[in-house]
Amino acid sequence: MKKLIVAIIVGCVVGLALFSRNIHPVSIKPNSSASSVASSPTATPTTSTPAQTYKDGTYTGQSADAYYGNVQVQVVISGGKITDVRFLDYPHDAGTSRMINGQAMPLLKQEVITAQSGNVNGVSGASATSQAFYNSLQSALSQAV
Amino acid sequence: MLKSRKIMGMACTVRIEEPTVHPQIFDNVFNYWRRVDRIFSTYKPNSEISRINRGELSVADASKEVQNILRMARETRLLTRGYFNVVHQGKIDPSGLVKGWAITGGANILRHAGYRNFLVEIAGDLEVSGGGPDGSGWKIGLRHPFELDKYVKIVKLKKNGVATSGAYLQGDHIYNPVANKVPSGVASITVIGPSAYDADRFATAIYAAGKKGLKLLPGGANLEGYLIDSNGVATYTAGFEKYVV
Repeated sequence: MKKLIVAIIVGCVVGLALFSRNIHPVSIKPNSSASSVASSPTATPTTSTPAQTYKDGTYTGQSADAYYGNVQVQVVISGGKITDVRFLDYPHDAGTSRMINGQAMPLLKQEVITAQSGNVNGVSGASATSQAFYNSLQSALSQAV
Repeated sequence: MLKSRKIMGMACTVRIEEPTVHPQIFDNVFNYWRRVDRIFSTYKPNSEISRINRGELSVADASKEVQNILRMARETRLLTRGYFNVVHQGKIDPSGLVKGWAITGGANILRHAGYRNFLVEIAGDLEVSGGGPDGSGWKIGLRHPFELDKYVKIVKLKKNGVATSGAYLQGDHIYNPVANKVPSGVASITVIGPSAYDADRFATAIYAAGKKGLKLLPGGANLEGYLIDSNGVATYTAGFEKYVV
């Protein structure tokens, strides 16, 4: 019973964290390729692209398959620039139990993830999540030119 | 000194933080990766792997490098209780093993040349040595799976490999060979180990195994994992904390 209550509390916290998520504006230039945007800070392929501005408005990208769910973003253009990118959909499976078998895995711990920034020398990450994000973003931006 | 190239369709970086660096060393590593790509690419029709998959080359007649990788793949499959398998629908796809192996191979080229303070990266998987730019260790951000300009953790590493597997859009790159289905429920899994080779093969296997895959990490092997499920809840090995900044 205690475990169930903990699970419900964790679920609420996670739910709140996810549903209040609002990604910060990202620096994406018109015409910039997905690969140059998605690359890590240590690798900086530079492409010189002519200046281009987007038409103001709110554009919704296609839902892109992130394999374990869908990613769909909405982009807000103001003054010709991207001012906000919102997640309309992201992979989640709220029905799945978050409890793990404590007996079988005594050395494991759990926490709700948080987002942080800071100076780093390198970044480790899977490329596919970002690929789905940029696919949806690119399709939203293609409506704004 | 840092140089990046796009090889195997991926961003490849070599960074050496030492007072004297011979520029040729970068090309030695990049050329080694180009050779790896020529042998193992499943996208190149003339690679040995492609020729084996078309039945034009038998494994027995393949190069020493291919035999070596297939031997490591068998060993890894046993170590991970079948969750790592390079054979998928009758075709060999060693990419889940070759990437980490190539990073460690690149790092070994630097070591043999006498370098001790460096970072080697191929598309989000890395191996580091030494104290980094400020001497205290290489600070590596683990990418947040939902907020891609943020990190979930920053870790400090001195002699480690780190690899992250996540939701691969390419579909069949990682699948669960035990249940014969695609994995679900894991947004990303990062493994920190003694080398990129070890980190990558265990990250691949854990991702294929799903949420409970951390059980596959063998104790006492200096392998730690941080798994994020699709609800944003992380499960991690207790030993992972020692790396967190």
